[in-house]
Amino acid sequence: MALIKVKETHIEARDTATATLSFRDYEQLLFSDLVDDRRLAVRGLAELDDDTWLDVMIAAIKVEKDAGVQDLILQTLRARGGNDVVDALIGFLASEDAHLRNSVIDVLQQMPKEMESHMASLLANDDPDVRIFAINIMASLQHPSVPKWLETVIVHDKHLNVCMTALDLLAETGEKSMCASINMLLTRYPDEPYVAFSVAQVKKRLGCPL
Amino acid sequence: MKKVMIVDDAATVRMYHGDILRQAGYEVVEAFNGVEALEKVLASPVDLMLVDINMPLMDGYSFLREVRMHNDTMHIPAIMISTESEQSDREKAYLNGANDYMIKPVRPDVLLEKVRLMTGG
Repeated sequence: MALIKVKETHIEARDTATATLSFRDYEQLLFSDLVDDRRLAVRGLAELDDDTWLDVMIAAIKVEKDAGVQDLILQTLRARGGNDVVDALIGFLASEDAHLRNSVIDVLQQMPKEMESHMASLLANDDPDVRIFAINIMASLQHPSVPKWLETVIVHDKHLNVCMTALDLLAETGEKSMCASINMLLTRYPDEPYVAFSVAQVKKRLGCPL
Repeated sequence: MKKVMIVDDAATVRMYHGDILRQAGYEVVEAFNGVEALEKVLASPVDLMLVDINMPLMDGYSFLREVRMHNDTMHIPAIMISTESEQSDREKAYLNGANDYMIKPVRPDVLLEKVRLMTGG
């Protein structure tokens, strides 16, 4: 019982103290050693406006080691939305941190409007891994162009694994009208058993003539 | 019968690897991501795991780290199979608990050779 009282008092005192914190105060807290401080800072910054808001949040994600705080920052960015947020988040698709990368993909999946203008450049990225992550974003992106984007990938992308990632998703989102494009993979990769297997599976699923 | 778990978010990959292994006489368990795989392997350990890296909810690295922390599963051999072909990806896989690393797409004979080696038959 005593412990609970101490905790309540602590939070109350902190709430009173943070009521007057400025943007710069929160910015400092965002890089504190204490996870609770960093959480508080993200919530506080979300309520404030400042030209450097996005830069501060992005700088924090880069050094944040706690997955929970990282996710909180990302959800705050998603709530703010906008093309500048998407621009900044796309940079993390090339990150070596698999958890961060997955979390960014998850957030971008929730921003179909903003993603629309970025998809063409993502699918033209030099790094095939980034192109695969762009397709991973499409997996849960509620956008009507997803099947068409995927069809373009299987016809034009030069990397086998990028094409196969797109083909896998086309099994769920594709249409019968795409059968000819799907067949082209057999011509492009005639000696690859995985391609033959996957093409057959997807054609069956979409009702293409065998 | 040896049991192999395939952990991959791509349905065609699970089907492709699953078909190859079933035809060779292996029992196959499939999981869509690390979370589902962890539940399945903790409930019923397998003889080998084929693990993708990039999956929703829990990636392959996190999954392997979790698996290596449990007494019942820490010894299970794991092959990471990924589209990522950099040497650093391979090193990261080993650091996170993989016993071997293969780059997609994997040819059936190569997959079976590795699986036989890892499961002892």
